[in-house]
Amino acid sequence: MSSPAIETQGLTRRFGNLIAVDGVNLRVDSGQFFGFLGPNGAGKSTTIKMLTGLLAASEGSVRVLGSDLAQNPVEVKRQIGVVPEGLALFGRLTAPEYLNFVGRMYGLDRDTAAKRTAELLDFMQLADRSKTLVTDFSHGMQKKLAMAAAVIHGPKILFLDEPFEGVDAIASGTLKTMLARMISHGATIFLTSHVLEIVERLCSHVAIIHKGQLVAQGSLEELRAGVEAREALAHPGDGASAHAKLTLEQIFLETVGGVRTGEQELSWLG
Amino acid sequence: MAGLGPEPAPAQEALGLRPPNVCEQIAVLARLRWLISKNSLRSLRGRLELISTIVTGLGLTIGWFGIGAGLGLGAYFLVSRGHSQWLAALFWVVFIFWQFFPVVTTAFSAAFDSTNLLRFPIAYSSYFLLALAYGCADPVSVAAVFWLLCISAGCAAANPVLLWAALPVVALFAAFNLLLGRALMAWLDRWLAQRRTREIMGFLFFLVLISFQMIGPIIGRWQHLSGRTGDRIAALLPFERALPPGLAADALARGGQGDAAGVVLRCVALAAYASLFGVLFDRRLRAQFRGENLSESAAPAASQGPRSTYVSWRLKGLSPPVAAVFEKEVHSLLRSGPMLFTLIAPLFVLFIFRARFSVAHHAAAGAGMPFSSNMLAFVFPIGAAYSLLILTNLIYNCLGTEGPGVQFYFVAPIQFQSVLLGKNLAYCIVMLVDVVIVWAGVRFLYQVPRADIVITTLLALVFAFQVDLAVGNILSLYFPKKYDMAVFGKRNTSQVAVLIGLAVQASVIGIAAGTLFVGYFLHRPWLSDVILVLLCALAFIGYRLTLKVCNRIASERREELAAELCRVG
Repeated sequence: MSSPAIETQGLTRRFGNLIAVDGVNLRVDSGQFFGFLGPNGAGKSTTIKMLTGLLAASEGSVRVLGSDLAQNPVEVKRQIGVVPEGLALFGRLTAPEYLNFVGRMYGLDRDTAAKRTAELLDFMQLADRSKTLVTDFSHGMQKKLAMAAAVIHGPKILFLDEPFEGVDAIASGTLKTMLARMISHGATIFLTSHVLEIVERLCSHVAIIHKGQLVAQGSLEELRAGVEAREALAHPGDGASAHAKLTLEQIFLETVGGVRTGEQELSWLG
Repeated sequence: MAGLGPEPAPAQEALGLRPPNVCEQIAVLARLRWLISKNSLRSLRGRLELISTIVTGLGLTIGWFGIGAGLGLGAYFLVSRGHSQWLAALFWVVFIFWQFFPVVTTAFSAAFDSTNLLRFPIAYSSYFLLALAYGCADPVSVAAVFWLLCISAGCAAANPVLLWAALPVVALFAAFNLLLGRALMAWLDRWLAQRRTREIMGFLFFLVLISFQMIGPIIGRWQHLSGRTGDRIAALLPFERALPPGLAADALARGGQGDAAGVVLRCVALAAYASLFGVLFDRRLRAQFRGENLSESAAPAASQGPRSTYVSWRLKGLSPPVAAVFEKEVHSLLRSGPMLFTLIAPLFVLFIFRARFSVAHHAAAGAGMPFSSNMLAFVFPIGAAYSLLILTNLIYNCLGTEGPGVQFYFVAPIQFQSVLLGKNLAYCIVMLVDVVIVWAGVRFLYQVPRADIVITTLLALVFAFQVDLAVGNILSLYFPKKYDMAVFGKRNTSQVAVLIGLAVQASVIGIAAGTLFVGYFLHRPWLSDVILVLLCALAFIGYRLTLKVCNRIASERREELAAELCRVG
């Protein structure tokens, strides 16, 4: 069995008395399009920050492509690309300057960085904005630029924290095309998203974190089968679930138990 | 169809909504500031900041009390000896402090963007008052108002009748200053927000600098035409009395003479000045209130010219990450209007010195005395030292401009020392350019600086710069403070970093002065240079060591750095 692209053992992060991530054992194999889901405050961003070196783990280990992140951070970071929560852009640069900067930081030579920059700007439809400062880009354009920066060095694993949040359909299409290309070239993609339809359409494997603990992990079919089996046990006479395939949203809600009854009211809205 | 349509919305009053009251909104904002301050005390850093603010505040308060007492006493003596017209000098002191101190030391200015309030349901009048209220809460305004009250008290003590005139005059003068200061800041932000207006501002700034050059010749010409110094000043008074400080002083002088009409007339003129700047401030705020967009992204794509491949700079001898950070830093500095303004500020000092020397030279010539040019020898060291002092603002918070971009340094396969080294090299270039500009300025405005003084100055500068970089790198990691390079008056520096920076500057100046003293005392000036060379070598070793330490600190403090620099608002 080949070594996984990402593997965590007992990954834990505490903030004072709060345990944000509690002993997470995660396994993502190479070439997987992996969706990491969870309700707000479940520990998704904290986990992705620990996987990418933005945050130190309180306990446990992270191995990326066989290397321990804590022991070989530089070696690991060389092989990954990251689009973090805040996009990590530098507003006072233009897009070509920023992409060249990122390329050089990953050790690309000047000519290669320049060539890839030009290609990426064309691909992301940002080439005609080459003299605009990043700070003056729209949110969608900034997302595309952050994505371009994350792949300029040809990473083997791509970490994306909410890549489709606040992005229009056109930009979203561009991003999905890029991700599909990366997967077809053998890269592994790890993304968090609240847009479950997109995760369902793109991801082959999913993990769900709830209150800091991993509550489900596997392929979509495995998760679906698990939920259906639980439902069958809970309601032996109900055959409805056998007729309709559960959506990821239904799987998610069943797993984290977040179904709102609608009985609660807001006093001033009536 | 009754009963099928949507139910009518409940009345606003029924929902507990009523038109917002501006006093309540100011109170809510004050409470917000209080809660932010209180909550910041939850972290050790917040508590350190508070202690530093108290220490700095105490120092400033003592100093400002002293100045206030001096101004009060000055006013008392001037009025009691019948020189009320000279009160203008005191008003000028307050005016210059109020208007220039916030621009020069942006660390003390309020870091509040009033446009944040626009998402709330506030009327324009409330918005105007809230924006003005923040100006009143500025420590500089508080100090200046206190000084004005001291002047009033001094006048009233010397002549109690003056109190009835002093209070309205001082109130109007304060209103004028407040509105002028707020209008200046608001318009500076506006002009520096876009490239074209920024360039016009830069051009005007250089025109002002060049105009300083004219002071000497004008004074010479004027001296030739007119008589004694007293006569010359008297010739200027009518012009000076038309300006707000002169008007305020003149009003008090008239009040002393019982000329109520004269006082009222000058108060009206002061009110007119205040209204003028109030209108300008109002115009700016109205544009903000309407939701102006100063973004340059609206520029049409076609105007961006033919596509060309951008290639990074070729910087031999630097590793790719260091070269990349260096290039990025230079780009960012060159695109920051306030930063460029700060960096060319030493030229101001030279031009002001030039004007001072011209006046002193002509005064000495007029009195038939020889003019001592010993002071000229110190112009280059002073200009160079001022360059360094100005740059420390940036060095001691070198990550403050990165914003969310700081996260990139922690996901990139690099050691953090590469980031700091790249930034430090960019500052070295800025320092070098600044020193060359200062040297050229001294060369053309005064004389060629003496070689021995240039060498000693450069050695002291290299020593001090390395110490500043070493300390600045560490402070930048421990006390980062987010700020926008493109906006005036919203820069903020950690009070802890300010205090430590002051201590470092004092130590460095003390060491350099001690070194010079040793050479002077032993009658071997070259000895100072030798000691400075040794100090430079030591500082270099120290700098290299701290760079390595910074790797560890950055790794340990990455969460705090990201939390502070990615913060919204």
